[in-house]
Amino acid sequence: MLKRKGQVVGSMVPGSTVRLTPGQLNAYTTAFAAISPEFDELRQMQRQVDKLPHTILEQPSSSPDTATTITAEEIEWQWQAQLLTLPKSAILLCRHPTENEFAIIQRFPAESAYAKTNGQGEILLKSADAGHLVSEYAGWAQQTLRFMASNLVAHAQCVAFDQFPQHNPGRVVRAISERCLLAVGESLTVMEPVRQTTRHARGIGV
Amino acid sequence: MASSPPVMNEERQPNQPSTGNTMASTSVQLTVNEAAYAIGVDSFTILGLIQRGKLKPVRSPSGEIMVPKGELIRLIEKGR
Repeated sequence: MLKRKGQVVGSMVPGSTVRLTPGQLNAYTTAFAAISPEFDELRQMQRQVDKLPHTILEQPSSSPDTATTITAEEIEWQWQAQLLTLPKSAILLCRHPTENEFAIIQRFPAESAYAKTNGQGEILLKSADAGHLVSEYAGWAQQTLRFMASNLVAHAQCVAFDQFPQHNPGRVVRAISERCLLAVGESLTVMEPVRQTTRHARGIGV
Repeated sequence: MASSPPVMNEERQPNQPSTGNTMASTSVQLTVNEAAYAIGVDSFTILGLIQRGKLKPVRSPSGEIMVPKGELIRLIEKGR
């Protein structure tokens, strides 16, 4: 709890510069709890996406003799690397068995309704340049994570405004929004100067 | 629609999909998590399908993405 001249001026929460009153802090805790599992998933996926640019270097093309295959668009693609491990699917870098072509393929569990009708392997991107392909997919995945973060904020907003309308839920949502955006690598350029100012002015780190 | 549509929840708690009922109504809207559960994928995949234009979502008043049940039916019928 932060105080100024003996007066409580608000609590700070992780990943945000917003100060919250006790009532707002309670609203924040409730609203954030509603998205907490998905937020943890978001952070876990962001860590994987951050490593994507290095994947192609760390996992060079394996021998076609030993490569596992996955069928997509009636072609037996050869696995080159697993790029992302998602809760119910995986993103793979694959190579065409006979041509100089690579593909990003999403592999679904055979028992899922989506796989039963759309196939277990779905091609997301194709290119002759594996490095370019992974880079392009990394950008695409990052957009999806931002999309996911904004959707989490919208869900938390619903909880905050429904259950805590008397506690200025806009501030609560702003705090959650900053935390979610920070988790997907946004707003760092905005937050950095604030951190420095806070450190110099009051000696309080975030 | 094929004979065995994916199991969907009709009377659900928020973010807690249940089992037992099927996709009978197409006017029901599902959260991203619920939609993912219904077709056996993850929320990242649902959002990716929306980004690629394969699913058309609607927005709740708070701005949350909702997936009409009819959209899911169309998606899983498409491959059959």
